[in-house]
Amino acid sequence: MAHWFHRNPLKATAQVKFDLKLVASDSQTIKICSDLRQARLRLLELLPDANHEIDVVEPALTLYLALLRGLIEVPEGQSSDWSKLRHAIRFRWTHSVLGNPPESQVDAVFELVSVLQNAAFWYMKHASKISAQEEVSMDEAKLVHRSLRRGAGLLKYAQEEWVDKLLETTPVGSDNDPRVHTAYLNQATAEAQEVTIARAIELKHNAGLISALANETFKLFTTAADAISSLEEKKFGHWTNYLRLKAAFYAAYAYNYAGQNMLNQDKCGEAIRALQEAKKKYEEAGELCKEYAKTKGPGTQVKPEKHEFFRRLAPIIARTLEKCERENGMIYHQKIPFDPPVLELKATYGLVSPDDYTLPPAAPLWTPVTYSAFDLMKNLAEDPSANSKAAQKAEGDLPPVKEAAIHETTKDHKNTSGCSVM
Amino acid sequence: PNAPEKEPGAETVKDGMPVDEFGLPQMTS
Repeated sequence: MAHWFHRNPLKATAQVKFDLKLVASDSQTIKICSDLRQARLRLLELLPDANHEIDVVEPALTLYLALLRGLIEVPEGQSSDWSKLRHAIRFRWTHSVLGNPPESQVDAVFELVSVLQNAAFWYMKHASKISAQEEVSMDEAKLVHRSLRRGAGLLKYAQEEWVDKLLETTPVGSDNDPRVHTAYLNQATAEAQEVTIARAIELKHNAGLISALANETFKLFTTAADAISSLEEKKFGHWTNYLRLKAAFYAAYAYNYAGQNMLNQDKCGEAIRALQEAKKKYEEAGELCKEYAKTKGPGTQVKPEKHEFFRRLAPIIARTLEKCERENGMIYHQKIPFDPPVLELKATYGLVSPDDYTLPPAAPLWTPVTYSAFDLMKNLAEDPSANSKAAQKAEGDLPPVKEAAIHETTKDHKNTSGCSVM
Repeated sequence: PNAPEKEPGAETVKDGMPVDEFGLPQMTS
């Protein structure tokens, strides 16, 4: 089975030592620094491999965020202010579509946002990995759905709760850029709905329901593509084309099932027009697949046009259109409208919303006592690169993350929808 | 722990209709 989900590269980061200065040597405080270092390393070791199970990655993420929280907020009971350590460490991260030059900020909130985003990308890649298997059970289809919702939830939480708390301006096209966020959020949500559509087809739900859900999915992909359409073509064009081809593809699905629904209601003329539109959108999707394949840019190179879920639609449209034309000629004699029908059915069932996410509580090691053992003044002026642009430039770019390969089957799936996530 | 059987917060009934983990109406066999 060819790749179905386009994925952008993970964010790369530089090592962080967490060697914070103390007022007095304290074993618990030293342990916080050591745990932060190890927890971060462990998480960064896991994220490049989408083959890991969620049960392995999620605890590693939770552990690190629980420790990191102590660098962001004052331990409970003291005050609701920012931690005195929030600006003690410099973090360097690349952005998923901007290549190797990192952005650096002396801000633990920047680290938090970056980690949440990278974890979200891992969930999206994990969903892609499961869906690419030869056999995908119902439980695995649920995992794909869950992973995409969780990815969307992490991105939403990072953007809505934390990005506006960053003190530095967001670079254009960065993962904190609201346009990029909108694209990712709508992509993950739309892809989760793809799973639902495939299941609805498999279970032979009514055509109106499938059409409405496909139309909502078309809208999500369109919103995602529109969000990044004003960004640099060289970097964002490849991803934009993926989102556009998916939008056209789901428009074709929406019109196809709208046509079937109209035929079921004896509206044969309108059904013909809907199916003609489905055919047009399908052809558009095919052209966009070629465009996507030609466009260079960051991220994977998927081949949706080779996927059975894509290929199966053309004969269905052709068959239904032929049947409608035949029946209209023999039985209905209805006028075929000039304009395609408005897809006004609102999806009631199967709509996806991002998973709610909140930070784990701060690690128990963070207490008023351990917090007060850190020396604020010594922790502020240590890093010369923090304030010097020249020193930052001399550090250079970060190498891209070496992501583990995932196994992709080359066989079609033996089910009604042809979708791998069944 | 194993992955939960149902999506967190997933509705089991929507508009009086029982729905599955994907939010689709339950099909009667």
